[in-house]
Amino acid sequence: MSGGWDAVAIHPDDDVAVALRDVAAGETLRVRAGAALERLTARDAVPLGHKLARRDLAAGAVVRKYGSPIGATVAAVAAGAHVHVHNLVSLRARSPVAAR
Amino acid sequence: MSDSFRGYPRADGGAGVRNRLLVLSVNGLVAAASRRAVRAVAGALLVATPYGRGQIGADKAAHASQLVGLGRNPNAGAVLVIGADRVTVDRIAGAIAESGKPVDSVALDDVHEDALALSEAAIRKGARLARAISGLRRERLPAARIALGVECGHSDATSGLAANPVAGRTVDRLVDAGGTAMFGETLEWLGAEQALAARAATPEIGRAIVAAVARREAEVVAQGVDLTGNNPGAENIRGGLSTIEEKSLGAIAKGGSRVVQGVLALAERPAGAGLWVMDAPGFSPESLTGFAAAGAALMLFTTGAGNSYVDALAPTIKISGHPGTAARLPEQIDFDAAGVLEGREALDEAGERLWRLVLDVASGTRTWGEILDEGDETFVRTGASI
Repeated sequence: MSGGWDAVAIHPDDDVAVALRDVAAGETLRVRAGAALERLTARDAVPLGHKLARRDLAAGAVVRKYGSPIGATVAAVAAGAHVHVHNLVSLRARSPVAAR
Repeated sequence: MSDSFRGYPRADGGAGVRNRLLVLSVNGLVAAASRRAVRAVAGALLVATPYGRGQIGADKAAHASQLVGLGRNPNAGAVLVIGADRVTVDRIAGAIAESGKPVDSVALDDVHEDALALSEAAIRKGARLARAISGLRRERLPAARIALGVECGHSDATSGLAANPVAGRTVDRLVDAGGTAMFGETLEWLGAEQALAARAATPEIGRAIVAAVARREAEVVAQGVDLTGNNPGAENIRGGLSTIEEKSLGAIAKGGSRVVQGVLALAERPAGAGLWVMDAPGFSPESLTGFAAAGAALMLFTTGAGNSYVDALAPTIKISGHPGTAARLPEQIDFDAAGVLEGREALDEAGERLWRLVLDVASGTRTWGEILDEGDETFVRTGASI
């Protein structure tokens, strides 16, 4: 295990943390959030660069990363689960220009 | 210890981090003569446009704005304007001279279209300007006097995790210290424009941010290119990006988190301190020239795999968070942010370390791009020649 932590919340209020290495299901991760170091158990295998939920998220909940909304969940997501295209959708409406 | 640097205070309130003789060739017809002249004046920096006639409307205005803006950049201690006709040269030189810095000029019609005489006159005038500014000395100035441009180029999956957030922390430090910062590349805001608009100082500025993205997107769509259909693409998704908002927020993270004071046109100087966004192209050479013409004295440039291009007038600090990039490119990357990606360095600590480098470079420490002369200025055209 290299480094002081395994995942990072880019903004301390983020709903997701980004894995800094490939993570196996069941592993307990050290998550850096601002000055704090938290523990989070991965529910799924998560590749380097991918997101894990830092807390339980309701279905349809707005998910924040970088301190801003990056999308909404399509179903309830448990803390430690992989958050990606299978359970997260964009909130940005297709531009009316592009839809023409 | 309050944050300060040693720079060149300028008459218009700006601060140079360098003190160059800028030779500004304002018409492609005299570029060759200008190159001859610059070779003879040690340390002179040539910025030469290949254009200068046959332009109309907004394109012509944008071209003039870039030329005058580059002349007014605080790193130019003095400017020698070289052009094809006295009328144009007077207009540009006069606008630059309003800044209070020494300006001189030569025009081809002054010397009866003799390009050799043009070079000779330019050498004599340039030499005198160079000697005059060599008497200027650095003074201790507050960090608030720094104007910074922030750019990304050749980004990869690490950019949104390391290099951009680290750059953003440093931008926050500068803005909090009273300084000025700007980022641009309008189409990189696509997907994050609502988040960016939410940080605008007024609702009108928020609307201008959204409108700028919509306008550029419409121009691209009109040419048959779809920007949102396959975005993020397969490689982005493999790397962990789930939505276009996430991808764009990762890009604009390089601009930090502070209030956006306004939307600048290309080469438009900010009306005050704080964070500004510039509605401008995404191609780094054009984007950087836009910032330099708006008065940015120093640039941060984040890259994933590497990118050697820098601005000619403003020292450009190259930042990468990709493990191995700094090791592979030791004479290109000025700041290695890989510790963030490897869980060894916190974002705030890396941001503090980059802030110290910004103050060092502002005070005279040279970047790799300066040392290896990798810099250029690239003029943005917004219309076709007639």
